[in-house]
Amino acid sequence: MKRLFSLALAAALTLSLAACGGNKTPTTSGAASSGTSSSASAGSSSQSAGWVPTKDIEFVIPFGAGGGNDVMVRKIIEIIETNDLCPVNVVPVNKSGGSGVVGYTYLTSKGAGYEYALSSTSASFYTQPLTGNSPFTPDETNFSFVAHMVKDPVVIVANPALGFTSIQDIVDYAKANPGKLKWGGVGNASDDAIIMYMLNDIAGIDLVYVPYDDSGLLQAAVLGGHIDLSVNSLAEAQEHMEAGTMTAIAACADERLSGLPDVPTTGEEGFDISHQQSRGIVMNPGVDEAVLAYYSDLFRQVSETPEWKEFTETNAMSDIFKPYDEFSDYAKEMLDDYSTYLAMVPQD
Amino acid sequence: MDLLHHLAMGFSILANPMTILYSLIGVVCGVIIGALPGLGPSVGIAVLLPMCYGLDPICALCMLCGIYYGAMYGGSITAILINTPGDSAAIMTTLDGYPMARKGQAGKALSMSCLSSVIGGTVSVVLFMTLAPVVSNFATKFGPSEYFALMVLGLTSIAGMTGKSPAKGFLAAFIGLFVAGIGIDLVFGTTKFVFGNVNLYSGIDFVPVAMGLFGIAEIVCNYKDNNLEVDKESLKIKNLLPSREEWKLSLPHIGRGTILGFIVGMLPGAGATIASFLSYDMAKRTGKRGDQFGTGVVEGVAAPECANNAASMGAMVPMLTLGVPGSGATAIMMGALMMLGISPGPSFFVKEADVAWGLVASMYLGNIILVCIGLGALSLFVRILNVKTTTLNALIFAFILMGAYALENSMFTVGITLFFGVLGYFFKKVNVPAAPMVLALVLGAITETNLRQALIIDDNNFFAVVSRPISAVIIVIAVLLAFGTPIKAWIARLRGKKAGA
Repeated sequence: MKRLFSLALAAALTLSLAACGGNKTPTTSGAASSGTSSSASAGSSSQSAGWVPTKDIEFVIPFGAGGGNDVMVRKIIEIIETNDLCPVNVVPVNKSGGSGVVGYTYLTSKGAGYEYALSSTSASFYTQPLTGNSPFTPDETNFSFVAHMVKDPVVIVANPALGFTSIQDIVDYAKANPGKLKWGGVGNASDDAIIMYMLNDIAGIDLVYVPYDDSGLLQAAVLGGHIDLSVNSLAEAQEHMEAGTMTAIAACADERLSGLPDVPTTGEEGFDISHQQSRGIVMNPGVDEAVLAYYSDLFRQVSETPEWKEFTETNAMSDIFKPYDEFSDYAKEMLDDYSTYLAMVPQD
Repeated sequence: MDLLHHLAMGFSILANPMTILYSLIGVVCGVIIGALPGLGPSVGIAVLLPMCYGLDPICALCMLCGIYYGAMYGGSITAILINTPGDSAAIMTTLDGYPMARKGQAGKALSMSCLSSVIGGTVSVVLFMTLAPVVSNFATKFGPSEYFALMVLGLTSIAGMTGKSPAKGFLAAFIGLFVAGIGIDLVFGTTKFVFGNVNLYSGIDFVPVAMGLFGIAEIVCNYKDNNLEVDKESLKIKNLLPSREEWKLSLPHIGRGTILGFIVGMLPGAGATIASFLSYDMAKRTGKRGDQFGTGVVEGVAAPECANNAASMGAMVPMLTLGVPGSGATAIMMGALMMLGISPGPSFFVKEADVAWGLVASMYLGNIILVCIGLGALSLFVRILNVKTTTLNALIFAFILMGAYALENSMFTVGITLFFGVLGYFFKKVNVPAAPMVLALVLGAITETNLRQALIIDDNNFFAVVSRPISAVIIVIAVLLAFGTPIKAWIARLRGKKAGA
């Protein structure tokens, strides 16, 4: 009897392990079963212009929970649900690792033409393939472009001890003291680094890049004067500007940020380094145009809701929605830009 | 008097049964989540965050703080009972806690862990209240060179964990350092030892390693039934608490550990883990029963436990005064606070005084509730050991694998846990201690990162790195600690020669 009981217990545990889909969402078996559906059926989808999804959609987030990309995607999903914009559930799935590569591997494993999986993109979408760390080049062979959602501007900040008030001050100091100024950023081929190398290139100076993997530590280092310059998101910059612990020099954006109206843009200062991280949505290659049009329209609706406006406003993101056809061209531009910039970053 | 006035205001905000209820929920959930291998305070806060959406900020804060404390304690429950640390801060608790459990003193270990956690937590709240505005700058004084020095100090404490055979301990440590180096290089983006496997790009996280090395290895080696029947007599509360002599021995360590923990906890990134290592090491060197550490002495549980709770409080200092999260869990808490409309930063205590002091008061509350729950459920926890070993092992194994999967939603992490489980089994068979490996893994990655950043900042001048004031002091301390005994012996011999001549 005891043996039977322990066998039953073991069976129950194994079953519960197997059913553990790893999602923290309310839907049930959507994620598990969609993974096994054949991609052959996807290829033979209807050619009619009014494609609608008939089963749950997986939204693969190639980054960790809590990060900027994750927060944005979950907000999109929340808006879709509260406004009933989609007849089926959209299920978020975090697959982080390799700066996005694990997530894209998972996405493409669904097969070309698969219509029920989406993924979000960040700067690493362009930079990782260029540095040779990802086989997924950001073009039509690997992805179909669905929509571009936002751009994330940053602010160049400096430790107040050096008394910089404009980019020109930085350039002058750097010319007088070559190799002395240190610029901190997260990652080594990220937007933080790219902005610095662009400035080096345009102004003919040699700021030194110090890579961090933890933005909290980077903040502390700038506050303590170990690092002279850095880039910060608006939310972080505002707090410290008000407290006087950091000086905001310029905003890397096309127009002045509403949260920091006194801070000029890099363009106004005369340095064209307003590079911004962009976030968009992609899916598997070879997807039918009707499907792309559906999703593109869905996200257009999301971008027009007041909740989205509020979200982008609070997080100081530039709401630049582009539907699928424009995103494809825009991505090509981004790729060209990133190729040029990364050429400036010393790589081993 | 201003301080007490603020505190009174904070408590008055809390004097609402709802806040106490939420704090209670937070602590209970935190203890449970902290006890589950692989899940720590960050996961606990992230999972329970949706419950805070509609709540009043104070209630939500109480719940979050309760989770934070509860998880810190919960991690040590599994560390003591089944030698599987729930989070990195609980590793040191396994060193003496588990031997105590095997000797039949699990109740004492658990209660000492709970009480020293609470003492550490409460004292550090007082320190926080009185010192926060003054020391908020302290965290910013630490740049990469200072962190490097601190990590070197932490690595010297490995020598205290090697047990009988230093060579084996160092072997484990070097393996740990090697594993710490796997991943993509921070500065150049080169891949190191990833063998083309994308999942290794971000390196190997310490949690699956600890779960495999400690948890799975323990299970595999302990398949025989334990004759550790806990009888009714020993479940009486007075037998579960530490005795007076044990208190006398432990209190100095608790005092020192709390202060050390608070200071180290204030450094973003260093946190509870380093604090518990350093406190254990200090207790071992200065304690009366220092040479018995590792065999199951109660001070060996008290020292790291109070330090890690003090450190979690210390981590709140940079979070609330500078807006810089001190650790992973505080980063999520900060996100939660911002979601509630509170933005911690330099002007937090000034602009939102009532929330700030309500937060401080809720920390006291969390500590009180922790004592009640910790001691109340003590006999329950001890009774876990009564469960038949085979069943217990099966359950633990299942939980470990689930925890490993839950970390990254990926079977690869589960594979890593199993791999290190096998490695841990071999370690046990050859008597190689596992703690140095995990310590080296945790510290090694931070050491490398900070050294490289420091070198970039100081233009590749290593001497400049170690001659910065704070780094120099810390490195001198580390050298003294490492070479202290031989130097002392050498000086004694010189003196002996002089006296003799």
